[in-house]
Amino acid sequence: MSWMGGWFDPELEELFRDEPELMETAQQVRAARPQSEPDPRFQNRLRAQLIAEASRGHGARSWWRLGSTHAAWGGAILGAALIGATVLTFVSNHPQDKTITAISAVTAEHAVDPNNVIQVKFNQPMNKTAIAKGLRIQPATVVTLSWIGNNLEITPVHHLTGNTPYTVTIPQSSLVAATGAVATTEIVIPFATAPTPPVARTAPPTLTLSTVGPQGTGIDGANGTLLFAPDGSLVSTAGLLQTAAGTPPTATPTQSATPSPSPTATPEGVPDNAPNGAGNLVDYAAGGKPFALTAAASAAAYSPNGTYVASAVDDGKGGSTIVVTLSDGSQQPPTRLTDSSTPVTALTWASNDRIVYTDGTTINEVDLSGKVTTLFTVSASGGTVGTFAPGGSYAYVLPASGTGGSLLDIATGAETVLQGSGTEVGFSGDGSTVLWADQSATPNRFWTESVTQQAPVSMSLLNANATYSNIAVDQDGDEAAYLMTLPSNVEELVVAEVPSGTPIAIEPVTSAPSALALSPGGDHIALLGTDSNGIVQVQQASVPGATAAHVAPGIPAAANSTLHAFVEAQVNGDLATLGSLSGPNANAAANTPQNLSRAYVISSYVEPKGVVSASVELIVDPNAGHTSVEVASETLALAPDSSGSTYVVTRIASTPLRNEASGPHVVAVNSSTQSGQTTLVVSFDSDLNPASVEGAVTVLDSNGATLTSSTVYDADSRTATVTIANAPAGALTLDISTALIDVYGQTLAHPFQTEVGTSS
Amino acid sequence: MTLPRAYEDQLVERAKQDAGAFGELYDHYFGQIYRFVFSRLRDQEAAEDVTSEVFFKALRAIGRYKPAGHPFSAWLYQISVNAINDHYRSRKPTSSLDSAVAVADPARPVDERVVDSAEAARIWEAIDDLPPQQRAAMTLKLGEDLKLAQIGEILGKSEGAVKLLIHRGMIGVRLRLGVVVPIEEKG
Repeated sequence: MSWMGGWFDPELEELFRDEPELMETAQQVRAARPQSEPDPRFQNRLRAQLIAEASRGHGARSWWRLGSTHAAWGGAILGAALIGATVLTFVSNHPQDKTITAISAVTAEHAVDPNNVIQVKFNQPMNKTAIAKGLRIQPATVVTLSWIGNNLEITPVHHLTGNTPYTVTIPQSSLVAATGAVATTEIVIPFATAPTPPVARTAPPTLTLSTVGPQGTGIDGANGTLLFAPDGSLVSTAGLLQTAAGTPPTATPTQSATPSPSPTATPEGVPDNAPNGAGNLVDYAAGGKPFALTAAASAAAYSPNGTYVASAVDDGKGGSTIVVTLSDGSQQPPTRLTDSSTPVTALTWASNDRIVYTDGTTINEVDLSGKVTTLFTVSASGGTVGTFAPGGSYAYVLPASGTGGSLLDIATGAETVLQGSGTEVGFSGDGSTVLWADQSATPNRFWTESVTQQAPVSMSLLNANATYSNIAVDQDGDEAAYLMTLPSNVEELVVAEVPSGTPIAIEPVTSAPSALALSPGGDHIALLGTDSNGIVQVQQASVPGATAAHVAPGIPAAANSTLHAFVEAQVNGDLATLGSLSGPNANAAANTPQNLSRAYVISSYVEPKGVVSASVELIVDPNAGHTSVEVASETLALAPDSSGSTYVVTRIASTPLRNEASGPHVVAVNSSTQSGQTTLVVSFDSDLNPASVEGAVTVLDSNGATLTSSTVYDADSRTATVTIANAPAGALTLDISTALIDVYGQTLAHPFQTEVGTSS
Repeated sequence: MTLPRAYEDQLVERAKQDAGAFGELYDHYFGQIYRFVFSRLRDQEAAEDVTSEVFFKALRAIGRYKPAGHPFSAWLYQISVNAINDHYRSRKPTSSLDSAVAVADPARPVDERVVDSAEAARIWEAIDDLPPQQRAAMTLKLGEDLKLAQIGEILGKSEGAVKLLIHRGMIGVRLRLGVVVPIEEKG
């Protein structure tokens, strides 16, 4: 049967079994079939066009849809710039390797969240070392790089600066595939962060921890965990209770299940609440007296409707008893639902009448009637069930050894490996999100993903050299708390946004904290910490809100409002608004460059006669016709109009657009004076070399005399805080020289000088 | 080469939201589709035009695509078949049976002529002259080595119907190559 190159098609052999002449023709046709390999240039070009089309939002793909600000790029720009930038296609010279392609979703976006992680997706494994060596971001930004398969995650260590054009560049020589193939051109990813005025960042607020419970009675040793009750009160699974006189509580529960509204299982064998010393499941009612719900528990959880609390208590025989009681503590004793001959290590509610629990090996479900159903059993070598996602649909299975635990879909038994996961895993209160520390990588890193999707996103961490533990997540998974142990062994409690990692609050702690818990709303954090007497106490703190946006001090609110409305109108090309906000001698239209992408107010201050002066940068993002950032510098003067209640722009002067010079730029200067001390906070767009900052900053008085000042650079906020003691009243001049350099060694783009006020 | 079905289904779902996933599908199927199109058109420029059209159509329609148990490649081939037919309708006049027969040399065994590239082209020109459905079935079978069931998925026909198309197509090719004289012309 073999003929012409060994081709044999049994289907045609069968079809033409009785017609050999047709089989022969089939063989001829196949032998004559046209053979042509596609031109790789065509293949690359088409791919680029397709992805560009995708990025323009055709079809039903919301992910590809660009925001309204993207319109600034214009159709012609999309046609060229996106193809050249969004899709990065390269033909390798290596004879056996396929084309290297890469794509980044942020390319050409104009409103990227400054907290974003930048992803670059390659189509094949890449030489990670080579890429790490060559990758750069302008303005200079310190980043950590991580990989998920072929996807490169670029995480800014200190987040991106808002309202700033960025360019990620990977040179051609660094674009080396794992096979050794080298791309023939570089990757350039231009994008810009959200076009909002940059916020003067300050250090995240601290947390003020206080011991919970009016009597500070502590808990049973270092045992137990913490959880928040539906009413917001804090609950310890091993809390100690003392009466006011220092005696143990006397409320010995009965064995009756009478108060129970629905659990009907026999109460026989219900363990008493421990009367003394052994701990209880204690509700530290806010503003009230702590009370015991059940005996000390190895696990506890509230029902979704908040009516019940279930716990696993010691049965005295080496196992556990699952009990349930009313969450207000009014039902004593609790109702026994079932026993487990082995200790129960975790439980949660699947619904208001079903509890899912595990001893680490078997996952069972018990309903309020006491009926038990086995849902899943881990194989002998399959690790240990650690925690449940609230709702009981998913569980985290600890690895048998090392790292690489998995997310278990309890209903299907399907397991998804959580890359590098070990013991540090947390679920959101709604069970939808999992956050874990990747302990297989150095430095550690955090990942988060929806439990229903295998699309982990890395979370920015504050210190690449720290180790992380005690992850707690809020109800909807957008806020997390964790413990950060620095190389110096200093421990810090951190509350941060998820997935950006933006710190909301940070507090150094020395109490050997453990068992972190975050309230559903993320507004309270709790932990177990050892007090000065060596007693483990339940501690709690309010989580302050995010840093408030800066309001320039001393600037009348009406002037501030006009200033920002005017600049916004310039960016939008809104001539009507510009006209309405301008005085008769200020020609805003003639002084506003066209096609602006963004602007920011660097500084503003009140002159002696009440006129407000402002320094503004007007920016045109790169486009197909102009690949560099263009910038114009503008000064404005605002004064009250005839009504006296509204400010208008009375003077405007701007430079022509010019290519923005490389190197760091000042993006904001804010001043305040308190108790005779003036503080200037100078924000930069780049990560700076800290050692270069203080020597580059000078403050002059109105006579040009240098004032004594001290400067401290904060890498996280990219701000230099300049402090001048006993500054004279009136305007000061801030001078920053090109001795200031960024982390790449680039000098300040141009010498910077601005006047600042000293009003408090 | 086909992707594992489960993975492919996931990839297609992602491609509805994720340009990178569509790029991955493209990377996997581009060569297959291009070669199929080229085998039908035998002209590089035309093949590139039609291949482009196929993938752009796929991109624009992928949001509505449902696997329905068929591999993604079947859908791409469907688009390809339609695009090729459109191309023929708009650009290529139908050549006559007479002209095909006129250039054939019935005395020469077909297999001896295959090594001749011009002859190879002529054989496939004969396929071009087949009715569209026969042409598609022949190309998918003999140009792409697809299974009858796969061809049925692409053309929306049963396996038996595909057999019939190929059978008729093969006779049509032989007629056009002059290997056999049409029955109606005998005697």
